[in-house]
Amino acid sequence: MSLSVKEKTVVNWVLRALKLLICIFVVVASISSRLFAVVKFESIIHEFDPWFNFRATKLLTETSFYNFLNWFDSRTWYPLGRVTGGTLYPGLMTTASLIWNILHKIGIPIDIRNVCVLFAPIFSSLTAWATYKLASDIKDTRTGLLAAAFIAIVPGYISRSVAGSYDNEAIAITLLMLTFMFWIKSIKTGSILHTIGASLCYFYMVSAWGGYVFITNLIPFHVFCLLLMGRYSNQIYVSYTTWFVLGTVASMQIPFVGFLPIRSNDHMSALGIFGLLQIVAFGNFIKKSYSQNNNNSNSNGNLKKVMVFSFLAVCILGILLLILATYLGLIAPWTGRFYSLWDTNYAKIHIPIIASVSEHQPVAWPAFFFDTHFLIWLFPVGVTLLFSELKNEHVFIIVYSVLCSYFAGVMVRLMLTLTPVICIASSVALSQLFDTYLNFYDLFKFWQNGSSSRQNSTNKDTKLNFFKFLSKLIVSGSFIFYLYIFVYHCTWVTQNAYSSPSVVLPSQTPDGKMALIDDFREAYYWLRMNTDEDSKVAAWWDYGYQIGGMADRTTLVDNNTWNNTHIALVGKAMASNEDRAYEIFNELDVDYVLVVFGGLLGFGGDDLNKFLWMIRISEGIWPDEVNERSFFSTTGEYRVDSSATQVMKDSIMYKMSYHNFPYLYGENSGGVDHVRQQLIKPEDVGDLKRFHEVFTSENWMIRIYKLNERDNEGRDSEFSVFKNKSVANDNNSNVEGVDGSRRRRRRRRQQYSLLDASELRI
Amino acid sequence: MLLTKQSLTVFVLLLVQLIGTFAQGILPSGWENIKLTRELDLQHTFTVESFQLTIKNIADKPLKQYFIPIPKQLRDQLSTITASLSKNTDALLNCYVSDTLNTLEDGTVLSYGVVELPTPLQPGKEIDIVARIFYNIAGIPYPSKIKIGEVQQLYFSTNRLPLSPYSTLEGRLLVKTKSDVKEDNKPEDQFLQGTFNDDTNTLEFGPWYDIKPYTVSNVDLIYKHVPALKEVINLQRDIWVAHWASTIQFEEYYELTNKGVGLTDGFSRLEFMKRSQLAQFGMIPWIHILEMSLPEQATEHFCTDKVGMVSTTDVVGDTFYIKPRFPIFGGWFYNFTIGWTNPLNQFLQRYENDDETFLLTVPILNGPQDTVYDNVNVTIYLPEGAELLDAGSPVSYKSISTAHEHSYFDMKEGHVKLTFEFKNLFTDIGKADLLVKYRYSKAALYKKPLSIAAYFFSALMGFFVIRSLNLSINN
Repeated sequence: MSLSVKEKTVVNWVLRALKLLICIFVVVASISSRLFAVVKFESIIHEFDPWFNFRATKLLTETSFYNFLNWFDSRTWYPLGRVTGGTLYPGLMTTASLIWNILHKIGIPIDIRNVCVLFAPIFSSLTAWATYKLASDIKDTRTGLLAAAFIAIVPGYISRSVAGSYDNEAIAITLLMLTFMFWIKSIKTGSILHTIGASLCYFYMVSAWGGYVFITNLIPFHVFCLLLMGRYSNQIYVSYTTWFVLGTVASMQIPFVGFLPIRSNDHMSALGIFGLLQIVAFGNFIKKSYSQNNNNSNSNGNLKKVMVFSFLAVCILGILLLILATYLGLIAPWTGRFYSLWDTNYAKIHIPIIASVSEHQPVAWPAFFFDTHFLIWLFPVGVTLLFSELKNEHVFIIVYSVLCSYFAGVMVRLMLTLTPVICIASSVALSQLFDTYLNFYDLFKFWQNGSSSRQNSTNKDTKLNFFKFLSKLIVSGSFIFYLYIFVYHCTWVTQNAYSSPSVVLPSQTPDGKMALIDDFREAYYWLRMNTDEDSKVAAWWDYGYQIGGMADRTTLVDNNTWNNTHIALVGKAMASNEDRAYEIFNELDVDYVLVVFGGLLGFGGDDLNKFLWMIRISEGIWPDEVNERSFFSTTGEYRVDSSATQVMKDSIMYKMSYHNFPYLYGENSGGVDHVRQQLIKPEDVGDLKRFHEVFTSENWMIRIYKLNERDNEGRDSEFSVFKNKSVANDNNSNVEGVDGSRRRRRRRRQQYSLLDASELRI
Repeated sequence: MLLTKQSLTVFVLLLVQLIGTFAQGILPSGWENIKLTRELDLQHTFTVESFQLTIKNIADKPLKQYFIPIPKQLRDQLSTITASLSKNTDALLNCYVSDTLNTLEDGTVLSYGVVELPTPLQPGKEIDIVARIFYNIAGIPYPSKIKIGEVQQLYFSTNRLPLSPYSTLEGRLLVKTKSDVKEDNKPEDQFLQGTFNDDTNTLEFGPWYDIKPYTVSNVDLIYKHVPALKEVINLQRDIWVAHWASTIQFEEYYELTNKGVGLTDGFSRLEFMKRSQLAQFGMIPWIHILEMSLPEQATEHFCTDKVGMVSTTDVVGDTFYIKPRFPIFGGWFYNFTIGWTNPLNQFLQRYENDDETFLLTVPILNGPQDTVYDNVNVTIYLPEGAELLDAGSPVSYKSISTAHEHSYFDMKEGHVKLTFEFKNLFTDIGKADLLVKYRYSKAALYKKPLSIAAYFFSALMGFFVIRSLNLSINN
């Protein structure tokens, strides 16, 4: 049966309309599912790093781009300050501020906060489009549409791109896919236009995320594999050399990157492949001209030997040069994060600060399923299918999936770079399956020939094979069912796991209504409103960005973690006794000390649970003064109750966390720490003599203390007007009222135990 | 309806105080206070000083202006002066603050509030006047810091005997507070001491007889005052008029503080929790909940501050309850923004003979009860293309200005922005309405959507043209 021209046009139009409709749906799905965070909570910047990005973007909208690049921030890392403009990736902020400016120009004076909040959802729709194009190049448009739909709603990507998650990754994944999309196109066509696209996207990626090194290594690796497979072609030569030269020169324009592309080991593979490619090209040229002149098979064999030998020699020479240059200090060695990629124990031993970050931990197995659902088992199928055809672009996907599977296994955050390739490979597998099993052409044909075939039952072509039909129905039906479950799972995960801003904790009132535990903002806002503008706040580095963004006060350390010693100093103060801590804080000009205490609510991510890391980090610098062992009880446990060691009880972290806490439940009964499930008695918690409480949030999650001021003669707290009050003798305590609120809080508690206290026992 | 409103406005406009130009150095004279009762109301965050006067013209010519002294240091905190004749309290007299400054022998510098009689009073005649001066001040905390749970006491120092440029035949002083009030450093002279009246919570002094002009004598008062002293340092009130949506949107940014008593030992959450029940009865000197009385039918309420949404809010009837992120103790600050939307026809009238001219009447304030405001900016945004015809306020303002502001889809000059700047307001005065008369033509009304449509169309056409361009070198 053949279609007329007119019918063909109609079919084409229908197909195009369908494709457009699906694309629109994908875009709508990708944006709307990320808006759960706004609908459930509010338009707010999430977590920690986004607060810095937001602060920087706000600054960029208020000043010029060059001022922004020259930004020296004296309000962080006090008293050192930070050359912020030169040590950040400006891509994200520049893009957001550009969008903001354009919107203002066209008469939409939207608030910069809303631009930042909605940034990730908008860019995720772009990612879906780039994935569509990329996957279409891998197989066909059907695969592309499936891949776009997958990437639009897959939790592994949503986890870092919900509304409010204004982090570098929000734009970086989009750029990653765009770069790869252009790279595949240029490998296929050898078009310089596409390669320039790839280089520009790569440059944009460099300006936006430190993870650009992944592209810097993946593309050369792809080319290397193609060379090893003997697939050298002029397209590869044109693509790679153009990309490398343009991309490298462009990337060096970013101040934070600077000369790294020619000085750092992370970038050497790209340079090596560039050199190798020249040699291969030259060899190929000689081979071509040689074989044109000589058709002798013997000389061809010799040539091959020469080629292989020189290839090996160049490789070995290159590696030797690399080692020599590193040894001589011409090239910077690999960074700590890089080493921890290969040796998972490296960070724990050498750089505790990297190991202390939860997103640098290895992935738990269930997380793969949680983040990608049924795609995780379709993924290897897709990769296997690609092997059967093994075109150049297929090699790329294979290389990408192998490398990233390993990386994702080492670090949780790299799950993000694995997710796109999972989507692409799975869509290859699924579309292959649907090509076969969702093809009900026979059935239509049967119906069309209905009456005539029944009259002539011997005609095999028009006879419907019932079992073939049934098997198609079962296979396609079950996969459509999987798709349905997948969508359901993604929505559920997005709604319940990835939409919480983590600045605000969701909770329920006794009558089932949603309530927010808003202690962080309560305390930060108190700081902002009621302390001097140039007050210095000492807190663990996790809260640095938030204090800078929300409380707008000077911090000692923040999430940038560029100076390990400074962090260790704060850790040391927290682990020291009151006198020593007072001395350290005074030297650092500190006015307020902020600690996070989850004991009342059962919030597991509090400072006492992070305390061991503070001790370890400061022990790394001052092993004589801080000793991890002295914080463990005689049985080797991390205790906070009566059996805690004296060193533990004397540390200001302990005192500040539990100050007044045991009296909350009555005079002498003591209070149960709901995170560590231990009873804290009044006699365990020593009085504070050199600090006094100035604020504690509603659920006691944030506690702020002020250093007692020295008097005119330089004498400190002993003579200070601020004396610590002992409430033990206060007969007015309204125990009943306090107990009532305790019961309510217990009900809330379970949801927030982010870290099981038992993990801390050794 | 419109006429009644207008006549009301004209009536209220009588309140307007003009800064008079008064020749320096000429001392007021010519009157005699037959009877002067000064009542000091210290029950609120603001202070009301009322005078019930029976005055007699003892000069030899008719007199029109009566002077009430205002200590110079209070002049900057003066909110408003009102006066009326005792027999007709509805008809308000013209009042203003004079520029005259007068230094007394003991160094006290006086300024004057001037009450103008409707007609000059003939020599030898008497008249009864009631005058009230509103100050944006309250007592200062005494002691300045207490522990959580202790009672707030305030200190207020004022003149004991009538201070007047005229001689007084009979004078009295009444001090009204929320609970008991006592005198600090009582004089030994029984004649000068006051007696406390339990029923009215009033400390009554006098009567005293034959008091000379400019008699300065001090009285220090200490009184219990349980509620917090809410002070809005700055209020930016934006009112957006939208004809297409037929709504009026309010957005207010408050910089609030409590000028009441502070905490001695810093804030202890434990102590605070023990006394949390006191808050339910309002027996606390800290700001626990703000009750905003909004216009009827308000919808789409929101409350945010500089770190995001404040989730602890509730709307009951026309009251918007806001629990700030933290309790606001004396000396603490809290900045926040609230907003809501009302139907436009609630505040907008159309002139009967001209359907393109409108009269907008909006209240000056909608804030919490018993609050004083130091600086208030009320900005009214009229739609793009509107023409401002007239604007007025029954309360004296510091300045009025017009400008343009670009808002959503404003491609030309932007919304018309009219700003009133006020100083020293308090809750009760905010009930008065601002009046704005403007013209918004049908052409301007329809131009808006058409121009937006034109922009969208040209953007789509541009996209179409770019898509159609073929820059390939292959063909």
